[in-house]
Amino acid sequence: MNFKLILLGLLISISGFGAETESHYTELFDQANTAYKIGQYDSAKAIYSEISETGIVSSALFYNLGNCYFKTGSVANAILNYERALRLSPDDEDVIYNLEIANSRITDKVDAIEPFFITQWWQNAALSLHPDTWAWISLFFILSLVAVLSLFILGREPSHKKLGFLGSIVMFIFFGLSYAFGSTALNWKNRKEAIIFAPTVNVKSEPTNKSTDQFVLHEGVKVIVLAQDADWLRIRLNDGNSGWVPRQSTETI
Amino acid sequence: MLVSMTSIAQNFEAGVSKKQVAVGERFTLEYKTELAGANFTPPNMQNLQVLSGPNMSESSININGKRSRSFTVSYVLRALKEGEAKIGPATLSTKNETFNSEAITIKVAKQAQSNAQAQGENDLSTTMFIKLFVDDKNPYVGEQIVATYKIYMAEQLVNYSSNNPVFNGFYAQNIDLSNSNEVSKEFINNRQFTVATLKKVILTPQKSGTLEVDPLEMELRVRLQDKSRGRGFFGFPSYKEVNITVASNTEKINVKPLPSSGQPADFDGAVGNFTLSAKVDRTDLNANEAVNLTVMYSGNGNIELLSEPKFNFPADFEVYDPKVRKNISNNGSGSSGKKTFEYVIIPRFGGDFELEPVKLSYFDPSSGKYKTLESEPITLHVAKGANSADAAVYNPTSKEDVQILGKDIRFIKTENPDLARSESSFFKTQNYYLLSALPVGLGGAFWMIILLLRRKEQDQSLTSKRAGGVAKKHLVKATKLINDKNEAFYEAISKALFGYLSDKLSINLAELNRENIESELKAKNVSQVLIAQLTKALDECDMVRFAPGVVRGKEEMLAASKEIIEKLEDEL
Repeated sequence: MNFKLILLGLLISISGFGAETESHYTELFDQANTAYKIGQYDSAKAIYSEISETGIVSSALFYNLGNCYFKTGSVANAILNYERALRLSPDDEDVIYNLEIANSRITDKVDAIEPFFITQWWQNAALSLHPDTWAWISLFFILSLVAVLSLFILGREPSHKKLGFLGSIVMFIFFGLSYAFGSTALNWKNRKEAIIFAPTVNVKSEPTNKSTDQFVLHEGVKVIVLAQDADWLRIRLNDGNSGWVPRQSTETI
Repeated sequence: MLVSMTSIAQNFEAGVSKKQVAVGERFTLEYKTELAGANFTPPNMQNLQVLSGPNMSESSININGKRSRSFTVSYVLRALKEGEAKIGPATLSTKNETFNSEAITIKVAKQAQSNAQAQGENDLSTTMFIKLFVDDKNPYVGEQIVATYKIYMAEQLVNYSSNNPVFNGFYAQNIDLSNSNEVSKEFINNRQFTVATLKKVILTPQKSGTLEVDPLEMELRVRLQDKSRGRGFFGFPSYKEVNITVASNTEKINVKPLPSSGQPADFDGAVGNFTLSAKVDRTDLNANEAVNLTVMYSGNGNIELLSEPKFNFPADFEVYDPKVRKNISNNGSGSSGKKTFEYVIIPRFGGDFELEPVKLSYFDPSSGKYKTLESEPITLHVAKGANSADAAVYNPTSKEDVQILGKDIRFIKTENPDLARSESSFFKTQNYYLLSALPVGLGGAFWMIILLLRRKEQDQSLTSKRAGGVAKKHLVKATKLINDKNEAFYEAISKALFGYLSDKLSINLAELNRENIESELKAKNVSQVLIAQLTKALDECDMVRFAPGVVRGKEEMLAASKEIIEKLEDEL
């Protein structure tokens, strides 16, 4: 009874996006695109922002909004929106390209540390699927695991038992892998990152104004948020340097 | 009373130009005071003739900006008689106080004295000398002291030459005396001296311990009255000139080290009394515009030696070396003035920047403590420059940058915007965990049911096996006796059956008989056929003693008994 309810809820949450409101937003989206085409970047920006403020997320929406900001000279905002778009579609070539150009316009050049090749491979594999897809795959493997485990537990013939035992181990490994890939993908999707918005900000060694300045960051740099303490964020750059910055000088992606 | 006593020496002095005169010789008597508006009562004089006076004169001197006035009453006198001439005390009275000068006795010789010259030459060291004054003999290291050399002259000076003392262990700065050539008159032992300041030096001790201030030596050419030759041709006195060498005293200065307790970390040797200010010419500006920051030290002390302020400018500021300006004057109270540092700073990026306050730690010798000054913090509001590419100055574009800057971003996406509410993810939610637990739970329950069913099946086959076992156990004695005499074998069969029944029906072996066996078995729903078989077997065991022919053979009997027990086991 309970399980049926849960399954029902799941189905609704996956498939149900109010179709009647979508057409209204698509209209707005087209309006903004027209404004962009004729060079009215400010009005295009206003309409895109209006759509995104209703809680609608879309890689294309953020990408277009980022373009508007770039055209009006606000590189930090452009980077913020490209990064948001990239989260929704990590493989989108246009987003990656424009983000690269926006990043070339900012002051700080952060050289990312080249990750270990196994880490890189793992990341690529995990990000190839949506975390929810990994979730369903892992559920499938659990089902398979139960099935082959039945063979082991209930089988009368020694050969059946052997087959069931080996099959259980394989299925268990498959389940673990899909779960781990899903976790990586989910962490990547939920990772906390921020863009520096203050023209220049001193990165401190401690979350107080009096502590030592470690290095200086400028508008538009992407940082990883590690922790938060009152109005301070502990951040790390892609090159491994970390420190504290005031929260109001950043904007979370 | 005591006050007025000590006041005599300071405020009312009397002196004569000569203490030994010949009869008829002229000399001057002077009274000197700094009190204005006092009443002067002339002294009583014996054996003296007043040729001129009382002559009043007033003079004023500026010393270190302090104006001091002095009043002089002078007489020109002539001795009348040989012997002693006495000048009684003169009186100076103000509203509140009365001062008396000392009485002066003058020896009057008969005409020219023959030994006067010798005496005068002998006394040259008391009439012509240099004195060294030091205003503080116990300074701290770095605390400025002022050394003053003064020449005291009671004779006429014709010419002089002097050396320049070397001040070992001191940083010496001469005070320019050209503007304030102080010549004054002082009375010592009622003798009038002309006093001139030769040299004034500001000395800054560079190390602790006992240091010496060197004496100033001078070659003097002095004109003396040549009394041995008496009056000259026209009755004028005759003179001779003498060369003498005089040297001032030496002063020992005991220089105290600066206290080590409470010494600030940034202390850099500044000793004195200072003020500090830091100013910018504007606080609101655009990025890449210059702003002037002026740090000014002022006060007195070793201001000349103050070093450049230590500044930690925000990292993105371009700062040029400061222009240093000094306006320091050396005078009798040491060095005082201003030292300014002018910085030109250019913020390269927008934002609000707080310039760290400038700090100056110094030692204040008057209180014997260290003090730290801190300027007011300065906040600069830097607006973003007019062109947003203000970073270009700071970060010259490389070849690669130019390449990328030449390209533009790609066009917007116009199709398939895939507008969707931000989805809540499914992985790792409660639902996910419930769904993953579902097959495990169902599978577990399924296995449990299957395994329970199988166990029941196994149990049944196991009970029948066990029943056979029970029969075997009871019949084991009979099995062993199968090759023995008939009676013992059948006896054993009989005992086995009775023993089994006794166990199974829970009836004592002694009370067990055919009747209660049959009724008990019937009550337990044992089939009639089995009861008949049992009865028959028991009968045969009884009959074997007297009718062995009707009884079944041993093997047959054993098998039959076994079967009976197994069947009973099943049915009971």
